Amino acid sequence: MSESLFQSVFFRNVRAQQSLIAGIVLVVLCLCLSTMLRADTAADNTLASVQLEHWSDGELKLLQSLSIDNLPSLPASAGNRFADDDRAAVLGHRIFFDTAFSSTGTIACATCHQPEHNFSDGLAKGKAIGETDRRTMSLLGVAYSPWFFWDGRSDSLWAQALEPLEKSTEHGGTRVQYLHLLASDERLRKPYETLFGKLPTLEELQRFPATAGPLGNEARVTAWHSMTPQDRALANHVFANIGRLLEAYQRRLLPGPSKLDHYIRALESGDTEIAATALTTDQRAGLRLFIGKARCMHCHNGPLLTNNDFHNTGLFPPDTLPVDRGRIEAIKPLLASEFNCLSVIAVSDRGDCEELEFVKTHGLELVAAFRTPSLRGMHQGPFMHTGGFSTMAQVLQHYNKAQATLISDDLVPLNLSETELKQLEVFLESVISAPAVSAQWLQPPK
Amino acid sequence: MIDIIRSALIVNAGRKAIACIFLACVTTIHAGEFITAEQESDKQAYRALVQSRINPIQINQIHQWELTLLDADGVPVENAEIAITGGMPAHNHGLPTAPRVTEELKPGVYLVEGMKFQMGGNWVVNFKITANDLTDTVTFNLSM
Repeated sequence: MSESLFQSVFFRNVRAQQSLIAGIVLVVLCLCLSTMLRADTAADNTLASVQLEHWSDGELKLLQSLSIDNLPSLPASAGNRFADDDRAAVLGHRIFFDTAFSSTGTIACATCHQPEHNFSDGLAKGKAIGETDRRTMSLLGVAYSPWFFWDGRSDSLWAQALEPLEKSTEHGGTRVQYLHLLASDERLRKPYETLFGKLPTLEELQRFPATAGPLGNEARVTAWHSMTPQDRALANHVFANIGRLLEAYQRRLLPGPSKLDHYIRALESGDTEIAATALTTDQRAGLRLFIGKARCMHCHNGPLLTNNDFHNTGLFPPDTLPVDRGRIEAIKPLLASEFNCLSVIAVSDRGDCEELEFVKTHGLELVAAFRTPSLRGMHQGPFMHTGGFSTMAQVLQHYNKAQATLISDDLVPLNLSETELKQLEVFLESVISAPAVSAQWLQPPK
Repeated sequence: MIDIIRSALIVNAGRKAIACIFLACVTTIHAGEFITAEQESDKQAYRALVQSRINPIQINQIHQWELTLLDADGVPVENAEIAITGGMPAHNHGLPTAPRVTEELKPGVYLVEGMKFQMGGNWVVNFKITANDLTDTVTFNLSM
């Protein structure tokens, strides 16, 4: 190799080395700058500083949307000016646990809505005097829903409470029976009159049948129609007030923070230690599926993990028409209800009836559609409105293979792996809340 | 008033992502930024400006919009018959409520009550407008 050629190669290599060194310096500088910038960003946004799971900004927003800390204050109750009155809650609590509010003297609201089961009963179908058509819903956070029952046939918690009291398979009593009960039991009469005014005297009660109501067997209905319109109106008024008292109690049944909430709080505060332990690795993987690939948040969204809207979950064979038609059959009774938000009896306490005024009354998506339950109120199986699945694994298998039904192709198979299904299943254990109320409300009054 | 509306259109024009599909331009409103949005009707008979009375729009919260209608000459469209439909095309379901116009607040400005969205994702809201025997539809796309 000639000297000039050698020098040429040598200098070229030196230039290459210089370029390489300059490049490395530049990269190091960039990395340092990037780290500094990241530190600044982290200081501004502690959520991003927890790198355990590498949640994106969009994912972090979704997580925060599920946090119990973002649960707004209770919505106003239309039609019940005593909804947040402590005295009404105390009396409502008494009625909730009182088996005298039934035709047999054996059934109370708490018979199916048991505090130890997160105000459900752990059964596939509710069992009171008879068996109900659908599973008992949890009452945890119920006051946030604009609709009640699985099909939303009531538009207020106070109106909802009335139907089971007269239904033959549940409490089986009548509104006139309950009028007698309130007026003749001093423990009930006094606090009632403090709130709502005078009940009929015992002498005045003589003119009322022992039991009567517009629903139920012929004898009850005949007795009801034998009453004067004024007495029927009075019985309706007192009956609605019983619902208002029950609502005042049930509005207190709010969910407390779950493991999921502790995890989200840890992300927000940048507490990596708690973030690493609040949920297991599998639960965190399940959470990622919940907010993403498994599409759970379409319906189970917001701090109560429900949109309180109606969806066809395909719980009937794909080549048949549904027997239980859900929401579509609820519209007529809802609009005709003597206790709905626009009813005469609600007028004195009139509030905002926007949901009822703009209710969707037709559409294929209402057929066999049922209200999304809050996942916070889950206790253990059975699940779904039918109570047809005894384990969460079965529920997830159902959605994983979901077939389009004759009336809807809304359900799309998730096609999750067995590992993913298990991760989702263990994650769902972390969302369950306990009631965030003092112990006195969770047991019968003394 | 028209000037105010035109100003609003200009102010908000920069906030929107506009996708042109075939010959029609479709505006996608991102709910988190939704203050006002405007859109031309299919046959260019009307221009519609919608404004949510809550900002940002929250899922599961029933709320109201104001809808302002102008004709092709920029004149407010009064006494229009307006039918509202919508839904999530990807999920094959409609709106969870039955929103409707309840009042013409001032000439060409209508109050829409009963708006609600119950899940995240892509939504469409259609206003079928009939005025002076001329029917045309305005479609808004929303990303919740």
